[in-house]
Amino acid sequence: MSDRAIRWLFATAAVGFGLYAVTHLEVSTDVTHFMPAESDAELAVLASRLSDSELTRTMILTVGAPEIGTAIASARALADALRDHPEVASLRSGPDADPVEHVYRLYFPRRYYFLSEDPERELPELLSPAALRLRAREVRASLELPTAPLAKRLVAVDPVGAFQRILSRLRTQRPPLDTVDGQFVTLDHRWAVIFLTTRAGAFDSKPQARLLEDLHAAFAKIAAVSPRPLLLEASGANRFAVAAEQSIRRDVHSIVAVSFLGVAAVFLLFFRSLRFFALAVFPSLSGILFAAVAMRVALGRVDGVTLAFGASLIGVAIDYPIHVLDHYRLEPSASARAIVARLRPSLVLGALTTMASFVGLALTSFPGFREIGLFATLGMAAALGVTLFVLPAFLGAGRGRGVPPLALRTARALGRGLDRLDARRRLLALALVAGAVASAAFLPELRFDDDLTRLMSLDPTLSAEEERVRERVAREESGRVVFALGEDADEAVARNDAVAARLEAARREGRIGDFRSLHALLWSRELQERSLRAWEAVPDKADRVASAFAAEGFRPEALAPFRADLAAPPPPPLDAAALRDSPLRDLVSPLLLDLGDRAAAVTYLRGPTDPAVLGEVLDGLEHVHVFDQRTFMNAIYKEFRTTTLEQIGVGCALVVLVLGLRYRRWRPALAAFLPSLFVAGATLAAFAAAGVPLNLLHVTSLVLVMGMGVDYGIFIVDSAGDREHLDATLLSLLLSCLTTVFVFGTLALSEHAALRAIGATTGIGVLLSFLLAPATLVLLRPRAPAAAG
Amino acid sequence: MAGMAGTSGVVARFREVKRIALLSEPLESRGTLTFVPPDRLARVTTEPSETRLVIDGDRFSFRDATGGDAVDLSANPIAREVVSNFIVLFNGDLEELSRRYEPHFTSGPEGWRLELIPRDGRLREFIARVTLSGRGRAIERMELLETGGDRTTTWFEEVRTDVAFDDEDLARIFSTRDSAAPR
Repeated sequence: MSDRAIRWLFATAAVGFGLYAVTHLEVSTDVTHFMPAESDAELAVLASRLSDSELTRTMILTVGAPEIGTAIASARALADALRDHPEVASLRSGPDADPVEHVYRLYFPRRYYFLSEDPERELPELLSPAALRLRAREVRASLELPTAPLAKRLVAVDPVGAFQRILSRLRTQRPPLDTVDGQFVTLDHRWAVIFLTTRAGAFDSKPQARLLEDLHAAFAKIAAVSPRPLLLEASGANRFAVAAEQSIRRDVHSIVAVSFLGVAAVFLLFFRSLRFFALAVFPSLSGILFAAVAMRVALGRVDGVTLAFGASLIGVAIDYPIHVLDHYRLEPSASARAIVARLRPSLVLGALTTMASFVGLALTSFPGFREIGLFATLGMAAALGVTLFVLPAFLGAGRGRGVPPLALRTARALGRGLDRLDARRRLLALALVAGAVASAAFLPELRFDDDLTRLMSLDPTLSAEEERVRERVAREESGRVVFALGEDADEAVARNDAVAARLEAARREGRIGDFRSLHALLWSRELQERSLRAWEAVPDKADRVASAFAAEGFRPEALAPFRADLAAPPPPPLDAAALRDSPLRDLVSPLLLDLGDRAAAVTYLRGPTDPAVLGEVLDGLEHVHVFDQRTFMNAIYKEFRTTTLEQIGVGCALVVLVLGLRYRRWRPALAAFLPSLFVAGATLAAFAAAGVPLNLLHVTSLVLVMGMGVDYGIFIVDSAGDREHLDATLLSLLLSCLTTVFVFGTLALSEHAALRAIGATTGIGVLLSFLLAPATLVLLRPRAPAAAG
Repeated sequence: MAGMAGTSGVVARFREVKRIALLSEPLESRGTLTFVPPDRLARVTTEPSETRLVIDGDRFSFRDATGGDAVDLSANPIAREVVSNFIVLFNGDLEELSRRYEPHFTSGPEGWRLELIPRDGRLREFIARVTLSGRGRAIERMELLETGGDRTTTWFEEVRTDVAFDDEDLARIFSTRDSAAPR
């Protein structure tokens, strides 16, 4: 096939794949793919639902002014400005217009279903003559209150206060705020408060950025015309997501600029061509595109984590075109196809060893890791294929091309340097052993840090503001909750009864703080029926109540509506479906999650609560989970990190096996492999010596570094017998090292811990890979003396 | 009313009688009422038991003789409406009064009488009419007639207007001892 035909074929395929990717690829992230065990996967589904719940999508806006009237007026103006914003799902600045009315309609007819959570014990006490007398006295006292007009209407039908008990429970669901002229204000009356729930998820940064921009613009307008100074302070996960994205983008822009300039300088200096830079990059990009499309076709989806990690691993493939391009420039008499034909064994072996190291991923119990392994393997194969079959078509015969002088001088200088080292093999071996011993000495000092929050680089100003607003409004955290799971909503509600009972007892003992539970709104059918049965089991309750109230000065006929109501048949108990169909659905939706084949009743905890204490309080309750998002995510993250380390070990064994099969002798096999092992040890030792704790991203980057290290070893072993070939190979390694340092290593300049970890590991690791490449020589047989040159 | 608007503070003793259909006998209470413009009012009963209703701006709280936690009444729309009437009346805020009620004012040598019919639908569900009467700057009697027929009549005695309070007095009178808001 002619070069022209290959170019057209490749361009057509690339466009086709690209179009398919644009129209079909929807990158989603499902953390359950990275869970090894069934129970964790269940929690992960809940975590995922929680991360997109109303709670995480709700911002708290607080408007402060020297006096509360101005704050309220400004908060109202802000609420009016935002109410119709396309990104705003709902906005609450005061209590619902008529919640009592809705609650009355739903609960008043069912008030005896919700009379007591411990009805067999409590109701006989509640209906004892002494207790009823006390109740009558309280009711009489309440008639002196300004609330008396409303209370009087209830007393006649509900003298025991069954409905009042329901209202008291519901009151615990309210945020601890005052209300002034229908506007929420903080208890110290210094801030007016608005709850704003967004349509988009908190981590969907584009719409969230638009909303935040409009929010601040609206407030600036209001503040500009306010007679008194105003202050807006807000809380919300979206603020961190937007700030992090903007900050990373700024960071990445500057890093990409440095990176691009560096790589461009390398290609201009050594190849005198920027076109070669594009040619060096396109096999890797092709590999990523092919792998993404193949995964989409095979699995029907592409996971975001798989894409990100897999794409990084395919970055190793940049070595192959650089190797080809370098030889192409240094050997002007050879055609591109001839060069590729000669390098093919090394390139194929390099790619095979890299793929073998990825096979370790496929052997883990994490479905997500298996996908990363498959993605990276497919991508590597495609990148290799493009290097071997497509790249030469873009280079052509290239007859009459000159040799760039700097490339030639550098290649020869590197060759001479290697000759000098070759002549001092013992010294080199000694240096290597010393290096290995030094590395081993530092390795025990190695520390791991699996706290995800330290990777997030949260803006301290935003964090302080978040803290102030949460303290003002004391809302519960979305990250610490209790789940009661059931096959359906009713079973979850039943299990939640037990959760609420235990938590309430612990709260009374001061062991935990306040909490918001579905239990304030809904009890299990069984508990409701027990409550009603215990109420109905008291035979003479109407007489008892009348007698107690008469003794406190109530007219006997005043309670006639109560007697009449007792004779009426009760409605059916309240269930989740009826509650969800009622106007109180917004109250219940964050507390009862539908998970498809399961349901979860959720309890949100307020204030500081020790997860260990919670665990003790709820010990023994089946299908009940204490979920602390931070602890949970850190545990997953640790699993990730340890699994990656383990798979490095498995991958190493497979790499040695592949090398053994290729070379059939232990010397070259180990010679190709050992430098990468030295590099891994030395890189880890460098972090240990510097006191830098390692995280998942350091470890993942180490996989990439080791892949490159093995490739360097293979290239040296395969070219060791040919001086000219070896010089070119050494230049390839230098260029590959510089390119990788500029592409990945510059991430070490980032303000973000995650990017810094990748950058530092890759930068140090690849530099060491280049510097330790001569270690290959120690294990190879001595070469013939080099010809002068 | 205009005369009341300029007061620096009002202290009065009161006697209140509530005739409620639920009860065989009327409820009678006595105590002291303190008003400090523009929006602070304390109503303390001494008989038959000690209770304390404090209005401080937009915060209302009630504490009874049992000494339990103060009950926040701010969120109860009926309580807000009833209680804020006191403030509006004592402030002599005619404009606000006319916004809330249809006022019918008469005066003569024996004093003045102001009859107020609620305009708001929700308030009208519960309150049929409020009637105030007095002499000069002082209110002597207030009667609240509910739609169900219950009637609360308050007589004010020893009314002192233009009372000056220092910070210590104010802190003592309007103390609620703890936060008025529930969890």
